Amino acid sequence: MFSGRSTKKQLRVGIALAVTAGLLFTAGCSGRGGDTDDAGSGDASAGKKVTQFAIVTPEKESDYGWNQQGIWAAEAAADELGITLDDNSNVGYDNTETILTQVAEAGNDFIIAHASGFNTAGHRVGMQTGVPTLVVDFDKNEPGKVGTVITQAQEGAYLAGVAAAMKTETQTVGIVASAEDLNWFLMAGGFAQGVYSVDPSINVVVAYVGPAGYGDSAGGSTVTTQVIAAGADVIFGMGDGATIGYLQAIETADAGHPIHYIATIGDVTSIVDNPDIVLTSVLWNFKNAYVEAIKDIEAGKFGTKTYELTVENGGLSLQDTPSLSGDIASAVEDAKAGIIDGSVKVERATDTAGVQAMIDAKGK
Amino acid sequence: MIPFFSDAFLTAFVVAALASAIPVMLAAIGETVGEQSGVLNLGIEGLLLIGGYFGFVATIVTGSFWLGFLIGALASIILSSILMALSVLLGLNQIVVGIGITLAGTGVSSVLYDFSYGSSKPRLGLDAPWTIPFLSDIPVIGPSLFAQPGMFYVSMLLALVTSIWLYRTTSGLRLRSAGQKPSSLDAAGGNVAVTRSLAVLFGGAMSGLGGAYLALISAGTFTPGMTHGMGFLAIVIAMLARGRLLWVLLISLIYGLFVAMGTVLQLTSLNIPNDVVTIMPFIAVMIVLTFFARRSALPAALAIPYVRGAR
Repeated sequence: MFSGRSTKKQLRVGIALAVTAGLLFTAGCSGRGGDTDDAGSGDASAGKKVTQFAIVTPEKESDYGWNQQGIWAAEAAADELGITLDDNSNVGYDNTETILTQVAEAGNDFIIAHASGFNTAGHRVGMQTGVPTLVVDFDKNEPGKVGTVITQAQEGAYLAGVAAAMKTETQTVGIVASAEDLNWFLMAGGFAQGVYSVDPSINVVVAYVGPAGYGDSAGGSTVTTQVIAAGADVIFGMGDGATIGYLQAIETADAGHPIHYIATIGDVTSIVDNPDIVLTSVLWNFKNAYVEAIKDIEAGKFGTKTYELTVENGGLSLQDTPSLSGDIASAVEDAKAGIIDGSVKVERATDTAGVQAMIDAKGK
Repeated sequence: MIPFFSDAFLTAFVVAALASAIPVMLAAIGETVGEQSGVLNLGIEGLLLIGGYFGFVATIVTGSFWLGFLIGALASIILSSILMALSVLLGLNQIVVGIGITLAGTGVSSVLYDFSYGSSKPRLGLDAPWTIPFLSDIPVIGPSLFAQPGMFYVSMLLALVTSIWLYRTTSGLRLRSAGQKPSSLDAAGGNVAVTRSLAVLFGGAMSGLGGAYLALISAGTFTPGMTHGMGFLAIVIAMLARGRLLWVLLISLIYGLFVAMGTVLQLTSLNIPNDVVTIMPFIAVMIVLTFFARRSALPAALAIPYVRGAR
């Protein structure tokens, strides 16, 4: 028989061993398991039925832009395919990898990491967990694990430029961007080309609120006020919180003539005092890309190609508004047909110098 | 061709310069008073945001811009009372508490905005200007300087009155002695803690007004984090100005002019890189710092807690 003291000692050792074993077991189960079969080293071409997928966005859908369009598209894709959507919006940019890992381990068969700031973490999580992950603007795909979606943003902006050129009465249109961002450069360049395709004599001016002034509503308001004072009567605005500043400047402008706004990515008509000021918006619709990605996962083809949003596949379009009618709508339709049949080539501007060069070239 | 010399463009230029200058000036005045009393307030950024948010909410709810400014100031007074309690009365490190206030103000205003206005994103429109007869008819200067919202004139008046208070009154002398040699103030029968506490609360009120001006007048709306470092710029301006409020006014105006000039340069065909344009206002402030910093003298007891009888 053990003495009482010996029994206690053995009990303590036993508990310690049990706890240690439990911790090791737990760690083994929750590890990212990059080297295990479950982590995706199996046959990617086998495919897998998708019954539930997740979207992870940095902000809520109330940004009337990037996040809104991503979430709406995911909801539409889930409806079309009759599967469940796990909405993980407003996660910010902190602890992205941890959040994506948790989402991957929450029973999702597919993850959409909907922010260019998520692409490195999204790629890593896709590789480590084996759950197919769609990232934005990434430079490579990984069969079965990581796919990327890019936007030919300049094409949609080109259509907006055509609409602006048809609408302007002062022969000056303005571009206001909240930040120096690749997609903003692409759209600014495309917009200028669209304007000049209608009338090269139109002035196109561009101003940036700051290098990263996404939320700078005060800067957005003052910069837009100055652009309007420079004669612009159509403003093509790109920005998050700064957009609210653009709208404030346009709604309170005392220019003696109407000022119109062209939004980007999302629909802002519900937050403006007078919807008539919104000429249109360059809408980004990710739904088809998401549906295609899910079908590719099921067919074992995910990660073998890059998904694109283009005018031709309906990923980029102009929002229908009462102001977008008559000659303007006809001109936009002609330009759209030209992009689709290849007769209109829209060049890509990828930095500020490229945008300015396109503006200075006046369509030549 | 852009009409750079048209009345409309020049007016917009001056208005844009003032829209950037006045919020930072108000915050820098508050920081100056605090520093002169011996309290370094690094929480200006958070106070600006809290003042901006609550001023924005009050204006939406009541429809009155004046009530918006009042509530904005009161909200920042309440937040700055944390600095008063922890650093002035309990003697905790002013730098740590100030950074805490910045973080708290930034976070609280962001969470409250997302909760209450994250979907609707309302805007306030324009505050009705106070049009000064005859002067407002002068081209460019008239509509830009003499047809401004009432708070613009109140801000200028506050700068003048604060300067007189600080340098022409006995209470101003006491306040400065609390920053230079608090033991002397104590020996003369003054109360260092009360003097510094009132200075901190005054600084909170001015920062609240600055934040409210930014939201209500400059932007016409509130967005989380909209100050973009303006609070820290106000601290630099207060240090540069060495307690002289005329310098606070001038440096703030230089900053505002360069911000507005940045947009003008982008609209020209000069093709100056945006990075250069963006850092122009900060380079202007650094140049002033380079030329005048040598003569700057911060209060001897700045950021040092006062303990009666301690040596």
